[in-house]
This record gives sequence, structure tokens and C-alpha cells, in this order.
Amino acid sequence: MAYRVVIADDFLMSRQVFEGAIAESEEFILAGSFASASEAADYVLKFGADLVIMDIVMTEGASGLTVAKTIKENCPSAKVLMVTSMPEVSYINRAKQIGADSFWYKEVQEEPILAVMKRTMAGESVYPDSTPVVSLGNAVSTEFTERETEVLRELTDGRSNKEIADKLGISERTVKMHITNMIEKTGFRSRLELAVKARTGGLVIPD
Amino acid sequence: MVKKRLKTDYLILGWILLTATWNILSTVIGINGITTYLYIGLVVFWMVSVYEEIPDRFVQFRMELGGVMLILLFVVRVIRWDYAVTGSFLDRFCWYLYYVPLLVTPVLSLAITQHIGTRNARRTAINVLTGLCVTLCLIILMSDYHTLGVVITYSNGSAHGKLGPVAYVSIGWYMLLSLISFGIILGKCRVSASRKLVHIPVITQLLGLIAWSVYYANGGSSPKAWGISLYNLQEVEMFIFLGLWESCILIGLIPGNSLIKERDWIRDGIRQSVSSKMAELKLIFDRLRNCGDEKTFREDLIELGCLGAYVKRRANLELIADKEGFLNTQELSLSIRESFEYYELAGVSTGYEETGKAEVPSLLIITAYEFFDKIMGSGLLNACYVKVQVSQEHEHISFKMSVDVGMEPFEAADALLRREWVSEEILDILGAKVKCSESDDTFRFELNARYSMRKTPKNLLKRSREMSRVDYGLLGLAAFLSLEQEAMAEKIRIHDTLGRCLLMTKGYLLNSARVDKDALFFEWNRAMSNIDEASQESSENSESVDYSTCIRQAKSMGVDVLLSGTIPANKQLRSVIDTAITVHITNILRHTAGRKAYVSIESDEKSCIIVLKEDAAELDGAASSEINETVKETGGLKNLRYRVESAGGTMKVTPGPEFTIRIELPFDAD
Repeated sequence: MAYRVVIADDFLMSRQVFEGAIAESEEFILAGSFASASEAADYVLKFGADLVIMDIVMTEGASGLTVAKTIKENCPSAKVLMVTSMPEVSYINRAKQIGADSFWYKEVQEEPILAVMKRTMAGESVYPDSTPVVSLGNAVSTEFTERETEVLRELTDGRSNKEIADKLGISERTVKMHITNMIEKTGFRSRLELAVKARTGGLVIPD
Repeated sequence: MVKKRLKTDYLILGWILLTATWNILSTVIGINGITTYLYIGLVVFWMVSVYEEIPDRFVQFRMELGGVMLILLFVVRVIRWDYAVTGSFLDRFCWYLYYVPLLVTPVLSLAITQHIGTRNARRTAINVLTGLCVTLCLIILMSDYHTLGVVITYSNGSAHGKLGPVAYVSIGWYMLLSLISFGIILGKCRVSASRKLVHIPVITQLLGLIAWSVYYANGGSSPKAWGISLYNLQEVEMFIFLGLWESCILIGLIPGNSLIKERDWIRDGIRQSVSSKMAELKLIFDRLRNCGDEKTFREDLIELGCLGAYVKRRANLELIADKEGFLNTQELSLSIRESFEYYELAGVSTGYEETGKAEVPSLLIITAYEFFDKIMGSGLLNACYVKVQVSQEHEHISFKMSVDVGMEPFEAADALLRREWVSEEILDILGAKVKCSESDDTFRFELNARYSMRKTPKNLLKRSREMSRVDYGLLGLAAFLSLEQEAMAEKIRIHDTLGRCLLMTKGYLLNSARVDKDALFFEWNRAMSNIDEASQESSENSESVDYSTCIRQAKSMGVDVLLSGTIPANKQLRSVIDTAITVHITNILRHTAGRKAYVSIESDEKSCIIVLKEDAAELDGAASSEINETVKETGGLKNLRYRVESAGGTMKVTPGPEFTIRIELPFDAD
């Protein structure tokens, strides 16, 4: 009996790619295809599903991670495969924290989606070894330390140095130092440019 | 109500009263009657006023012709009573001639009613009626040879007319067509701003109908009161025709020159709002022409692009504000994003975020965009991030726009922060506040506004409507549609003209090998002269985009256009097809990585079908939000749909990997 698959992705072309993969395989059958995470969750909670392919970043409504957590809590038998095209550094860890079964980068495509789906249904937890490397000015994302990435995340949220310092429990001077380091590494001209590039490049995406 | 027209109407009413008074006096006192001549004078006066007031040639000609028919009525009366010998051919022929205006004026009225407020007038029906009218006139005029028209007999020195079937048909014709015309007028009044004044044409026509009925109830002769002849049928016909059209002009259903002046407000208003930018554009363009080195050329071209994007969007915002003066906040998003495209080329890192959407007064959107533009011009920017938050809390709408910039300001930081970015007057009207701050080398400028949806402040609505430069409340349906068409034509002109320039500019800046520099100059030169001219150039002139030029431009930017089929010779259809090809190529260049544009044109006897496709290249992220589920038609697609539907055609857009536009244009639409 074929596995019932629900897709949640606000990008039409992505949904069509997933639908095409499902149509090619006898192991899977499409149960529903939704443009919003909330609609997908409503369906899964009502009718159930074997596998949910959930995009993380949704232009409207709740994010895929939030909804995936709800599905795992209320419908634990459903396997959740998180997908994204954003190289945001925290997504892999957050997906693991909420109990997502697998994770797949749309752009990188280390292996075909169908293979990941089959492995997931076979009980494997398929996660990339690392996040994609993102260029940021003269630097790449792997050149940033974990603390620098945390500061960068707060920076992209529009916080001032003092607010970042308060949130992370460090001094304002330390925050400035981290920002200065990142600016030097990237060659950007201002902290705002650093924040804008990090955000538009998908390296850090505020919730 | 058109106040300036009231003066003319008071004169007309005064004239009628004077004539009626003279009519009574001539009977009572026995003065030689000059009533007929006074009525002829009245009609002539009215015809002169129509000539001055009504710019629409179609309507003007038919009204003047109606006036000629009315004059004919009175002239025939004079000839018959004062000059023709009883029993002579002239005497009889004058009697027959009475029926000509009876048959012609209702056809003229119907033609005018069909014409006002519609984009596709049904001429076929009018042509058929005209043919019938001519036939009936000829039958009546030849009544000497048959008994179908009027049979005139003489006894005791006076003439008696026995009506034949065609005469009855003529009377029925007059009543029926007049009623139909009046019904159409009422219908058009009902859906226009003139509906509040519909009682004016109703009163005039009711009075005419009553007078007509009384005349025929009196056995087809002039009703009398105290032995005084009150009126004749000629006066009734005059009153009905003049009354109907004069009242339509008065209530604004037919646009007169006093209303059409509003049209100039659109152009003038837009030009005023962007005139300083236009002057800057010209300066930069002149610098470009004389520029020596490529580096400076590129810098100036970028500046031209940034300014051009602002002018294009700024003009757009004023034009697309609806008649109530509201705009969707999405328009602000589109405007800022387009501006950002050019700032990115200048090396400014940009980002935009929005939460929530709402229809807000256009003054707010335009003020926000101007606010943004001023900030962008206040220093050497390296980064800019704009965040727009719109929320509805119960019955209130909150609007917040924050613009974060990393820059070296042209003036001292504290002076920059103290500057009056938005005038106190506008802030007061918007109920808004501007907050400027600087922290950690980042300048933040915020515009906050909050108002009640249930009771939007009157002065805010008033100013927002003024931004549209037209008080639609004064207009009748025809004028509203006329101005709407004019506004759309102007918007299309600015959008298309600047749009092409900006696209080529961007293409050149991204890859100068792909865009011909001479072609780039040519386009900007044409844009400068097109937008700046103060002439009353009609929209048709500016709509003619040569598709072959578009194809050459596309090729110069790396897009192959594969055209199959033949573009029809019909001028209007060609114009629409040109626009379709332009929009299609523009979309490919802006949003996709596609390098082929497919255009197929097939025609049969009735219509022309155009299908536009692109190769199935993956859409970039920026386009995904536009073409995810349904296509949100903005800018070029919106304009194209307007052009297609104005031509009586249909347009279907299919999103997806093979983005397709299918257009069907009938050959016989106006």
C-alpha cells in the first residue's frame, strides 16, 4: 500500500516538483498539496498522512518549523521531511529539536528528493552534513564563529548593539567587536549592510 | 451640477419666458407676432453654446444637426403661414416638411445616448435607423403621390390633414425613440455621479410629454387658455430636444469644456509633482550625452535610472488612486522595490519587508514614497532596509514605515535628524508622526500613521481625492469614463515610455555589450520629449509602439523573440499587440532567466488570437511571490489587460513554468 504524502510549500513550482516525484513512484500517493503550512496541518490532523513534506519559510502564516512541531506532537506517526532553499544556519538544529525526521536542501540536492523520501519512510533520519556555504561579501558563512552568527541573527532583526548585548548576555563592547570582525571579514561598509546582506542572502532569517 | 453652464441655462429659460410672454401679448394686444423668430433665435443661441461647450465632435455634430432640424420646423411654419398660398404645392410641402424633424431628431438623440459613456458604441443599429428614417422622410415628402403619408384637403379656405399610416408611424417613431433615449439616459444617470440630479432631465421630459399629450388630446391643435394659444407642436419638440440635452450637460452626464478642463489637471498635476525630478532627469541626460569616460557615464546612467524609476512610480501612484482616493499598500511595495533595483546597481545593499496589506488613503502612500525618496537622496548610501507594517486593530488601521540607512550624510547628522521630512500640514492631515534617530552608525527614519477606518478624517479623504486631481463627484458617467480613459492612457504612456528606458538602462548596466548605446540614448531622448511636452497630444499617438523596435531591443538584451503569424493591419489591434509583445519581453527580462519569447498570432474572419509564451526557464525568487498561485497583475500586465478589454477583447494569463498570455481581439470592436 502506497504511503500518503502531504506537501506544504508556498512556491508553486516546488509543489509541482514534489508532485512529479510522487507521481513517478508507486510507493507514494499524493494525499494533499497546500500553499500554506497551516492548511497542511489542518489536513494532516484531520485525515492523517504518512509523510509530510514541509517547506520552512512561508511568505504568509505560520512557519513550517512551527507547524511541523504541532504535527509531530499531535500526529507522531506522520514522518516530517523539512525542505528549504534558504541556507539559514540554524534550521538544521531547529528541525532536529522539533523532531523532524529528515531535512533536504532544495538548491543543493545532495540526493534526489524521492530517495530522501524512501529513506525516511524506511526509518532513516536523513540530514545534510552541514548547511550550504553562503558567500557574504569577501567571506563565506563558515568563517563566522557561532557567537558571531548569533550576533548577526540579532542584528538582522534590527536590534541595536545594546539590545543584542542584553539578549545574549554579553557586553555591548563585545557585540561591537563581533560586528567589527564580521565587517572586516566581509568587506562591507556598515553594520546595516552586513545585516541586509545576511538577510537577503538567506544566511540568517528572523522568525 | 456644472455651475458655469447654469448661466447659459438661465438665459435660455429667460428667453423662453420672454417668447411665451410675447406670444401672449401678440394675441392679447394684437401686435405682429415675432414668436417664431424668437424661438429660432433661441435655438441658434443654444447651438452656439453647444459649439463652445461640447468638445466631443460626435455629440456636438448631432446636437447641432438637431438644432438645424428645430430651426427647420420654425422656418417651415413661417413660410407656411406667412408666405405660402393656401392650397399651393408649397403649402402642402411645408406640411410634409414638419415630419422631417419629427423623424430625424429622435435618431440623433438615440445616437448621442449610445455614444456617451461607452467605449464601444453600437453604430450598426443607428445606421439602420438612419436608413429607415430617410425612407420614411421620403415617403412623407412624396405624399402628393400617395395616401400613405398625409392627405391634405381644403375647405372653407383652410387646410385639413388626414394622417395616413406612415404619418402615424412617424408619430409613433418619435415617441418610441424618444422614450428609448430617455430610458437609456436614466440608466446612465443611475450609475453615475449624476444620479443625484436625475430629476432635472426627468422634469424637462415629463413636461414635454405632458405638453405633447395635451396637444394631441386637443385634436392635434394648439391648446388655448382664455382664448390665448399657448403653444404649438413645434415648441414642444424644441422643448423636448433642448430640454433633454441641456439638462444632460447641466448635470454633467455629457462632459462640457468646463469639465474637460479637469483632464488637463491630471497631466498638469502629475507634471507638477515630478517636475523638479524631470528637470534633474534632463540635466543628467544632457551630462550623459557629453560624457567622455565610461565610468562617469555609468554613474550618471545609474542616477538616471534611480530618478527615472521614481518619476515613473510617482506618476503611477497618483493615477492609480481610485476615485475615493485610496491605494493598496502593495503599490508602495512595488514602487520602493523598483527604486531599489536601481540603487542596487549603484552599489547600495537593499532589503524590503512588509507585513500586512490594506487600502489606505493615497495621500499616505504618496507621502511615504516621497519620504523614502528624500531619505535616499540625503547622503552617500551603502545600505537601506525598509520595513512596512500595516495592521488593522478593530476599526483602526496602523501604518508604520521604517527606513534604516547606512550612509555618509550630506549634512551633519543632527541637522539631518532635525530636518522637516514631511510638512506639518501633511502630518496633521494624516494624523502621522515622523521620528528620526541615529544609533550605532545607522540612521532610522520612521513614518507612523493611525486612523479610524469607520470615520476616515474628512480632510484626509479630501486631500487624497485631490491627489487624483479630479473631483469625480462632479462628473457624470461620460466624463468619468472619459477621464478614466485619459488617466489610464497617461499612466500607460508614462509607464511604458519610462519602463522601456529603465529596462534598457538596467540591461546596459548589467552587461554593456548587450545593449546598443545609441538605442539607449534614442529611447531616453524619446522619453524626455514624450513626458515633458505640454501639448494636448492624444493618447493614440503615444500608444503606437513599434513591435519591431521592441524585438530589436530584446535581441540587444539577449532575448530571442520567435514570432509566427502575421500582425493584422488594423491600427488599433496592432497597437494592442505591440503592447502585448512589449509587456511579454519586459516580463521575461525582469523576472525570468528565459532567453526566448514565443509570440504566435492567428487570425480568422472574426478575431485575432495572440499567444505569448516563454521558454520554461526557472523563475527567480523575486518573481515567485508574483507568480506563485495566481498572477497578480500589476504594472505592465494590468495595463495590457486594460488595453485588451478596451479593444473588446479577452485576456487569459496562465502561471506556471510555461507562463502564457492568451489574447483574443475581435476585428469589429471599436
